[in-house]
Amino acid sequence: MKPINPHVLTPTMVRIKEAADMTGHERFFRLRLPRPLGHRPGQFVMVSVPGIGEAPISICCGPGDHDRLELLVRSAGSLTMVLQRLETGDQMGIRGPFGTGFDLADFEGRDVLFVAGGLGLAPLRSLIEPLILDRQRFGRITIISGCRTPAEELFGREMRTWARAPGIRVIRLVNDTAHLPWDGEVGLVTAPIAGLDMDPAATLAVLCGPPVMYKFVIMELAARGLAHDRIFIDLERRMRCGIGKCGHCQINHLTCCQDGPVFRLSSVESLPEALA
Amino acid sequence: MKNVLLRPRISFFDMAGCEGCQLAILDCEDIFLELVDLVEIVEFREAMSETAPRFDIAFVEGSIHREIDADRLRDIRARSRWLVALGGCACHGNVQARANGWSPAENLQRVHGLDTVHRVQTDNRYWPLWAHTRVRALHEVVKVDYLLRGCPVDRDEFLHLVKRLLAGSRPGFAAQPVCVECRRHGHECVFLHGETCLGQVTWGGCGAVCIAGGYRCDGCRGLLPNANLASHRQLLRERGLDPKTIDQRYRLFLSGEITAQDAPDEQ
Amino acid sequence: MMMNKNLVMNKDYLVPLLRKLAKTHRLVAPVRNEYGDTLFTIITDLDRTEIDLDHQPQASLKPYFFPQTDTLCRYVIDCDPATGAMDYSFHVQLPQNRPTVYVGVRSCDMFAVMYTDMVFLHEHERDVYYKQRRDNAIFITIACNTPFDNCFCNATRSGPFLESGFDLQLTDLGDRWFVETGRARGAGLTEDWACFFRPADEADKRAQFQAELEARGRFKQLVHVDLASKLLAEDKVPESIFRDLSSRCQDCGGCAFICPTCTCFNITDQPRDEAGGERVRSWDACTFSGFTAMAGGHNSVDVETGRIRRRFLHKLQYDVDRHGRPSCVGCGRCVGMCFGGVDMIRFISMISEAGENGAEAGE
Repeated sequence: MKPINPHVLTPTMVRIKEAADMTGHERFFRLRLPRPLGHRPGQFVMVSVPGIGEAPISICCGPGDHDRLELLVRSAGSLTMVLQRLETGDQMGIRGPFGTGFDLADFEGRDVLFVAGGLGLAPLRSLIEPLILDRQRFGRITIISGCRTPAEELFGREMRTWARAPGIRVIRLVNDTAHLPWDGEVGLVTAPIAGLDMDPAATLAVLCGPPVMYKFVIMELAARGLAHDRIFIDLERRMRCGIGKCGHCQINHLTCCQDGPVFRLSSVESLPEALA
Repeated sequence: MKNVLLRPRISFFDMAGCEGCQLAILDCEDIFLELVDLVEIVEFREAMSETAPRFDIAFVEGSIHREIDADRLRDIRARSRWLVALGGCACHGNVQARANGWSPAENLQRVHGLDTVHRVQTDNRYWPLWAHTRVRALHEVVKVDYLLRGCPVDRDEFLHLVKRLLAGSRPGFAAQPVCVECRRHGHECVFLHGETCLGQVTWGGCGAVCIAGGYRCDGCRGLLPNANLASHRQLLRERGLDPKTIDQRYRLFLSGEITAQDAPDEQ
Repeated sequence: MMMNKNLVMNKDYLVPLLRKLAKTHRLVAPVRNEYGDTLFTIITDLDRTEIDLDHQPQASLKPYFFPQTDTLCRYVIDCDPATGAMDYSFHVQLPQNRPTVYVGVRSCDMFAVMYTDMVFLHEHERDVYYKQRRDNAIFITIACNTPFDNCFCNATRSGPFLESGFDLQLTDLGDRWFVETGRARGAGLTEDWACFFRPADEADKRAQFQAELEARGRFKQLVHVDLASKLLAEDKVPESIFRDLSSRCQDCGGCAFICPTCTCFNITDQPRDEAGGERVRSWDACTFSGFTAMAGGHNSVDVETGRIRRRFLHKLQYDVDRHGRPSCVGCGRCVGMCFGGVDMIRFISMISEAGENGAEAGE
């Protein structure tokens, strides 16, 4: 897969085809690329606004031979604050895709358990989409997605659609209903794991969320007998270059932008700062 | 890209300070003309006389000494979307905060003599002028959104802040010492020719202008959040400074931020 | 593989040779400036500049290949005055590719260039900006007969004499230079300017061998680099050492900036005017407290001790895992740079001592 620009540190400006607020501080963008990105699920792009700067954003649409790029941006830093104000027809700079991402072949014939905390659902969506499109190639899919309140839920309507596909179970949770109407469950993402109908020998788990979530979800999965090389985690780090040179995302001898951001738990669990 | 704020209204206010920061901004005419294109200046005593009920960015210069100043600051805060502390006095109390080490009466005696103390203590008219207990930085009275450090402020930082706010972003100032500035600009370390310097513990962003001009850093931009004072004090001791001199150096600009433990020896 | 040729050049011939090379190449060599600092300098007038081969240059060659601030691309903002519509675009900005001869490069600095080649040219993505500057570079290195006070390149196996990497390596034999050719470009150079060289005879070779042996005996620092890497790999380094070093670090970034093999950088936008600006990369240091902090404020590295740990482990452990050798080249510059004594020699001696004590305690 080739980067969108042969000069890998120079962004290409891309028009926004569609922009919409998903929650109060997350905005969804659909871009039309000059040519298909050819990305793998779990990869990310560096998004720029000229004069402001650059930040890594996970790709949240499935792979394929299409020129569509979907991103979900949370307002967190100086750049993502500006991105919240971009509208249809505006431009943003893109470079990438970067990272290794997921290999769909790993998931063939397996049951897959997704655990997403908050914004963690965005990168996982890039893997959930192809798994749902090609149902017979993969086993049962369970999606556990949690957020703080119903107002902060991401891709709610889509998750309801996914739930209607065969062999898919979607568990939507909030920590607190905050007096809003809610048709899902209340609790933490760790709660449903103990009661899942799951064959640890045939299941792969994919986690994405805040660091504190990993610790507790991994404990629950270990209790269910899931080996650590069957657990994938998506690590978020400060990134500047995306090509493994700037040093910011380095975790011991690994660079998150080149060797990750998706890792098998077994390959990073011994590194002290990986899950911090 | 659109600006949510169309020509945001900005204003300048001064509390206790030398007004040098406002002059520093007025002084860089090239920048100022560019700025005038982008914003509407609605209150700026150094340059104009109008006043306005509300503004988007309020720059407040100077430290807070009297309660009426604190009230004025609360009023500005209520009228403004963003409040920016302009310059060292507003950010951390600057040189004035040095007065906090003594009672107001002691200070007055030191500066104006015992006779004056006796006179003003019996004259109500003088009360508000000296009967404050403490020199305060702005953030000790109201919420401050951004700090523009320095004595005076750095023009590039000022413009960066305004432009970032206009773009709907937020300004970013790296918490790095003045040493980083010297290294970036290739200035020789003053320690190498026998001088001592507070650069290691002071917020950078100034381009190390004092060192470039042949002087040292006295710390006007305030104490870094991760300043390693123990190690720095040790270094100054090794370079032959006695504890009292070190405390005086720390207390010149950093009194508002340094604790009694950081500079214990001076009375 | 081409055999290294051994030649001899009269000492007086170096400047005339450089004069010939300067016709087609830019010349960079250590020059002592008016303040008494020896620095690599671009030489425009060989007649009025004296090359200083007696002192260690205070900075390495790093800025010539990986400048402190380097423009990656320009961004341009076009505003249609009729509609007010904005159009943004990025345009790559490549540095000039200038054939340059680097003269008087010490072994450690040459070795550091070989290390940064590995980072920028051989790993994953090739860095065009580095490559642009690195192509057409000729290195005339100088072997160190007398190591400087803080040098320990014998322990990092990056000196005092090199086997490869250079184009020409010069050894001082008193009245003459012993010249070894390394890469093909160096060999070609000796053929193009054969009049300056004569083949080395047995006496020359013996003298050169003698100089190398004596140089190895002259190091003032005994630094156990391999032991340090071993102790780190075995996780036998007490946390208290990192705490102690962190308590003395003043966060100035001097060690990373002066280090010839530190290549971490940051990328920022620098607006020039309404019509655009530049995206630049500038040196960063892993010891800065905000180095790993993310937009939301989360930092996976402990600001208290993690920063110092990260720096030393990168040099002595992670790079051993990645590249098979530590990325410290033993130039000793960080020793002179740091006021807090947070340098490589201090660190290695601290952990070697702790390792010995640990071994004794375990017996």
